[in-house]
Amino acid sequence: MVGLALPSGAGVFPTATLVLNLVGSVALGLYITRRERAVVSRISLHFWAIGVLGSLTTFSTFSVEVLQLIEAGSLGIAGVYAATSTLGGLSCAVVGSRLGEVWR
Amino acid sequence: MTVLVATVAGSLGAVARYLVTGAIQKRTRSRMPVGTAAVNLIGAFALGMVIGVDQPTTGWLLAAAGFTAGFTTFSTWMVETARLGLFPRPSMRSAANLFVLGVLGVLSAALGYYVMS
Repeated sequence: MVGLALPSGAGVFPTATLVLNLVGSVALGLYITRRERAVVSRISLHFWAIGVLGSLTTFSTFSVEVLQLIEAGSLGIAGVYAATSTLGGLSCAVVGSRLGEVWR
Repeated sequence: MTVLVATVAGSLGAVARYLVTGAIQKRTRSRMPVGTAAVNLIGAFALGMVIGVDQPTTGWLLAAAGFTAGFTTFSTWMVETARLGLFPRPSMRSAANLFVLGVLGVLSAALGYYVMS
């Protein structure tokens, strides 16, 4: 967790941030949907959705890593990283939400 | 010690996110998730500033990176984008939330970086 908060070096694909952001997106989609079906309590919503799952993922590190890749001239890696993060994250959020609808 | 610093900083960031997002969202009638957008852009700017500092100490770097990581959220951005409507085809709001915030995030980080360096 600790090293993950720090942006990875220039020219390196930020796998750790990507994985955490994708996992966090599935989990939050799943959790929020279950919450709306009133499967979980309000205090639990605050703790998990806002605290744990919201903090697990990071927008700041993502943005800084894209910036560093662009600055290092690794435009290809920057593009792939931004695309896999956003489109992948969106897909993960949708998958998580669907799981939340079917999970009793 | 590093774990402690990052954990405390991250927790404080998460609490700050909760307060700021709520305060902003309450004051707007926009259907767009502007609270999340605001914390994410502020956090990206702040982390950009941190890496722009010439030779930062490890403790400072950890505290700042931990705080902004807790303060910003990628998962909420994704879930909110999905909820602005993706099916049968992505809505304008959804596409705008994804692409505009993504581009502004990198620009904010760049702005923070150049302010400091």
